[in-house]
Amino acid sequence: MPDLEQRMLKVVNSGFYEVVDKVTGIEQAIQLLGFKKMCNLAVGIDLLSQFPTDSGGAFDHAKFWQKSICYGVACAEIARKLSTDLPADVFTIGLIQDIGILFLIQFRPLEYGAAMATAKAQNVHLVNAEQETIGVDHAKIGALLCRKWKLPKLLGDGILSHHFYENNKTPSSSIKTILQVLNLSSLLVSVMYDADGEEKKPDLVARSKEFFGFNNQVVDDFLAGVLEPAIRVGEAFSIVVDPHPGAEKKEEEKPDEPIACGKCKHENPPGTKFCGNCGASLVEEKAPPAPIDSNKILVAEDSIASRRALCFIVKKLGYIPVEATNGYEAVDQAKRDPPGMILMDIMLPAMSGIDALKKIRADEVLAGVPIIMLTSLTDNETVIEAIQNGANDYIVKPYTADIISERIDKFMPKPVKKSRRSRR
Amino acid sequence: MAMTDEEVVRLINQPNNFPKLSQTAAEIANLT
Repeated sequence: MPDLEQRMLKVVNSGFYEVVDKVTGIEQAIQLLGFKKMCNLAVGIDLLSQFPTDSGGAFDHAKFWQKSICYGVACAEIARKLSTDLPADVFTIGLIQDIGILFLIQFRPLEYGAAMATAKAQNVHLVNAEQETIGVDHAKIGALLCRKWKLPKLLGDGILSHHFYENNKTPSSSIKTILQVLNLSSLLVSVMYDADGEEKKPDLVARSKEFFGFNNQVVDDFLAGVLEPAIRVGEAFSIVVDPHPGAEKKEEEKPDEPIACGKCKHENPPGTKFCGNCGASLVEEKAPPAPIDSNKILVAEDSIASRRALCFIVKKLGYIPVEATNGYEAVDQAKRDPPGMILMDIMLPAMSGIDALKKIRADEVLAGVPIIMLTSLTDNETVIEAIQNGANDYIVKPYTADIISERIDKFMPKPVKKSRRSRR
Repeated sequence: MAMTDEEVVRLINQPNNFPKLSQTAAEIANLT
């Protein structure tokens, strides 16, 4: 299999294995790195080749593999620094540790989307959210896949416990070391990629010291050393590993811009609190946001018949319906007069329901308002996208009054009786 | 409905369902 051989050599020569000169053949690689390590590597590379690596659709496979490659490279870099010959190839374990996620994406996409949303909203570990929502987690599925593929037991054991480095049920010191390496690699990649990555650095430094006695300099070397070999490994699979993973974080920071005085229009240096020309205050006094009215339900639906039917049901249940006919109206209405709940069609004109959902979820006041998406679409991907972007639930059209009222009951407190006037 | 280990194994075992190791890699895996 020339493809597999070529990819293996590309990975071997990517810089994180202990090879000084370029390796040109598999026999040479086996001599240098050992038979077991090369077998494990072949399995990991072959698996990566079997899955999609594109970023189209609701699930971004390219991003998944980009991170997975970084996990693998980070594991290998840590193992190299440890100078101990671990009994399994940690690059491969790091690379395929999350393969169970791809299984869930294929067979339980909606539940996986819900588990992700739960983990984010309730700040619980994804594994716990998966167990709660689906009944099984991706680590367990990864281990079952390893067993099915008859992979070495250590690979399966490592994947099974990769989120539980403190697991006392794994007495073997070799698996304990592997789990600690996996945990550090995960933290390393989080610090490199996640929006709140920098906040995790103290934890990374502390655990590096606790597990292996690594000092701050070693941690900084890891952070600087993972990307280059990861880019080279990615090239073997046509996966672009982002060379500037911190760029996204930096874009979120507000640039230092001069502040124009609202009174005299004089431009003041960034950070100034009072205008240097007229002395007026430059600190914007924000009006307090409107409170959420838990008696109101926003109905965002472009079809007049459907909108009226929904409003009728909402009214009948004792709530006040507020209408929107497109995504822009929905966002504007929700911000001006925050409702207790939102029923929103996915296929809205002008701004789609998904885009409106994203904007509503980004709003501080509306972040926790229950949003139920209405869809006539049967493709799972749109629904997953909605769930991943913060929708609490979805209803497939055609729906009955009972279904609507059951969902409203699920997310809304009982209505307080007062005026029930519908308005636009 | 909660997914059991048996359900996972059943789905894994279904032919042409989920990507699997190539024949070559499967043979390599059996060597270790």
